[in-house]
Amino acid sequence: MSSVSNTDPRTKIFIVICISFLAVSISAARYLFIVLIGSFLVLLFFRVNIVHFAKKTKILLSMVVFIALMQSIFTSFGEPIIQIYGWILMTTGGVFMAIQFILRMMIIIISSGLLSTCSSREIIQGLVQWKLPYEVAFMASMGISFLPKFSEELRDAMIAVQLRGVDLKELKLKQKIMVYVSLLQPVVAGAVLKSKAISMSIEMRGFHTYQNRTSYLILRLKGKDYGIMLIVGALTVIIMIQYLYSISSFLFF
Amino acid sequence: MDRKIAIQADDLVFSYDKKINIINKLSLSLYQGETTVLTGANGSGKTTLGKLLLKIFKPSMGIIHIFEKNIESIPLSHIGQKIGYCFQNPGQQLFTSSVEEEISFGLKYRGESADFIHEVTESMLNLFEIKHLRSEFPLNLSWGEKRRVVLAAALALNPQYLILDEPTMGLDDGRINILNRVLDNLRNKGIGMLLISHNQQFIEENANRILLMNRGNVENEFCK
Repeated sequence: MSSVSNTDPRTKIFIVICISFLAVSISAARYLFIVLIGSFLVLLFFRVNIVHFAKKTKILLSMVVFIALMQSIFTSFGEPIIQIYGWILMTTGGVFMAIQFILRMMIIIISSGLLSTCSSREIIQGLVQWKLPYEVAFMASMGISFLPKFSEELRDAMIAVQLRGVDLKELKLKQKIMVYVSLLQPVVAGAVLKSKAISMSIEMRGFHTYQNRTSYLILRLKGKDYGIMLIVGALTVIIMIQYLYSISSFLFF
Repeated sequence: MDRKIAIQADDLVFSYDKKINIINKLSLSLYQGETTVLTGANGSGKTTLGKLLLKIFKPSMGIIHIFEKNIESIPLSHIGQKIGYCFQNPGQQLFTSSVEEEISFGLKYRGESADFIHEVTESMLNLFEIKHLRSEFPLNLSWGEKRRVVLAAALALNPQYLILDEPTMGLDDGRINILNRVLDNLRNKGIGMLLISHNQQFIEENANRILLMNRGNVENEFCK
């Protein structure tokens, strides 16, 4: 087994937390772009099958682009870029928001790919050993698995649409938007219903019946894990300080 | 008798994990106007074969022709215009916010007139006894109701061939009788179909030809 593949799941969770924190806190596109490159490098370092991961999340990413496009249309601040009969369709502010949203979501989706190298059992155990209550750890692990479930739902819906003889590539933009909008609600509802069914079946198997829980899996952090966490933590702090400095110099000078 | 081939598969090989072949050098011909039933033990590859024939899965080896065209060159949506398909799990195929919308979806994007869409939707709602569910959210329905919605949506498009995966699962006897009548009617119109089923009575009532699958290949064939 290679040295990176047996990295402790807590190290990977820590990296995802750091990257997600940067994605949520930063609003400058150039910094978000740097974090995005960093996320890619992390996936490469941990030998995540990028091609397989890209295939799995392709539809999800196209949905993100679609939402960003909608967001850019309905954002009114900034200079107008496209106007039809006096009605402002797109502004510089809208485009900026859309780019920011796409970068942010891509960072979160890509960094979550790192967790695909751990089993849900390892993630739960990692969180429990961080003294998180078992229920909360379990909830977090279910939350992480929601993304692939959502992606799966979306893929099924796209196949079902095509099986009804509808080719999205052949539709006009207005029709395309209508199809995507009509898919959104049932796809989200489908993923929620699936998660609900899972939680019910877990309860049926006696989840939370006993106060204490035995675990055969005990995780141990090694020197390599501490090293990776230290480097990632330091990089996060440096990027954040640099970003805050760039904002403050923009505000005060 | 000169029978017209609807689907032709040659030397199909498919594996989920690139280790064990779920479909193993399988060849078969499915004919227009003929009802073929695919049966066999769980895990013998029936559902996988159904999905391969429709290009939902891509075989690692082999060629499939639908109405004499290699499916490599046809987009899934064009296959969907010719072949009606119902998944084993009907919930996987429901993607709109009402039953009525689910049935009319394909027709709407095919550019049919509003009157025609209304007429077909109403007749399907009546045929499958789901008129009272027209405004319901499809994913909230029971398994049997979902199954009827999916069948109605597939038949509304007037397909030239049908592939139904376990169509009787979740249906009561009365609804199975309705389905038998519908399929009989389609047969009389010359529409061919591949039914994947374990229901012996349903097989007896519908099959012209029975294919018994085992370990990814057709082990036996019976003609009625």
